[in-house]
Amino acid sequence: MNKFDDIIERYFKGETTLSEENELKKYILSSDVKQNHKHLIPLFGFYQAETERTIPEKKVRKSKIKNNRYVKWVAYTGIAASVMLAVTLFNFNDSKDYAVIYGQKVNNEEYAQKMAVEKMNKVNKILERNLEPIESIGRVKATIRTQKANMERTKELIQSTK
Amino acid sequence: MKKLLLFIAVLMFSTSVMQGQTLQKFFDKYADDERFQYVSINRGLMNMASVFGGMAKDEKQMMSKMHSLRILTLEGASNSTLFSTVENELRAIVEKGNFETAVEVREKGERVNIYYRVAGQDDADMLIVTKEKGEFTCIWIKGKMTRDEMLKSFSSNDLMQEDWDFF
Repeated sequence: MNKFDDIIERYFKGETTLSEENELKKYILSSDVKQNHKHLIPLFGFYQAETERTIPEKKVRKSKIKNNRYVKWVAYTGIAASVMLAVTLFNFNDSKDYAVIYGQKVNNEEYAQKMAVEKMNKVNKILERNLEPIESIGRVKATIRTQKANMERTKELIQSTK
Repeated sequence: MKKLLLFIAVLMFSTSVMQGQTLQKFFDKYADDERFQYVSINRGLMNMASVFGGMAKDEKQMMSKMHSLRILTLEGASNSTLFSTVENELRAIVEKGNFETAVEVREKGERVNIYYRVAGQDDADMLIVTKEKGEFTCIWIKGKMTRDEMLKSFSSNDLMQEDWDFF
């Protein structure tokens, strides 16, 4: 029995090692192959052909994006939508009332509102105090206007009687 | 022509965003600082209508146009380095941010400045800066108000400087 008869027998039983399979492949595809083994040439030839086969590079279809209005408008609309979304999210995140007192965050809306009212009232008091003279001037201004109108009416009356 | 218009629109938008960001950066910088007190009001603005009576006659109408209120307070010695630093930073923001002065009051160690600006059609900001002995307060109100509406709210309460020169 030939050495390769034994390997072939074990090959089909799936008992051969990788080195034996390689050896067998070399033998079958060589010119030394015996007549009784030649029927195996197509099988090993097929394996050989398959290992040598390379996948052809996929042809990438290069297509130019047409410089048309549609594409531009789709792009602009996309950008606008992103900006709107960002603005909405920004405003949404900012929606809670809170205070930070000397570095410590207070997530109490009522407290924050109370604090804001106190601060605003303080500003209002300063404004009221300082704008009081202007309000007085405003009242004087209104009185002068009324007097002026009265004078005009009197003038007209005198002229009409003449 | 369309490209030019688009460029101008983008430029205007980015300018207004950048201006807002500067003031935003100022508030963000000091909001978490241990030496400051900070309040941010958005949802609760409607509960505060009464406090705006000093600035606008029709406070309800004004409230409906406001979106947010931020208050930053610094307490301490008025002549400290921090006081002057904060004051200078804010002055630079007001100058660069195209703010206009609506009210300026100086009285016995007290000072109130009210600034406003309207970017675009109705993107309005009002800045109230008060300085008194030992306290510096900066109030930033954001809302949707046209320039005319803003001026009307001031003038209706005799706050605008122009109204004082009536003689």
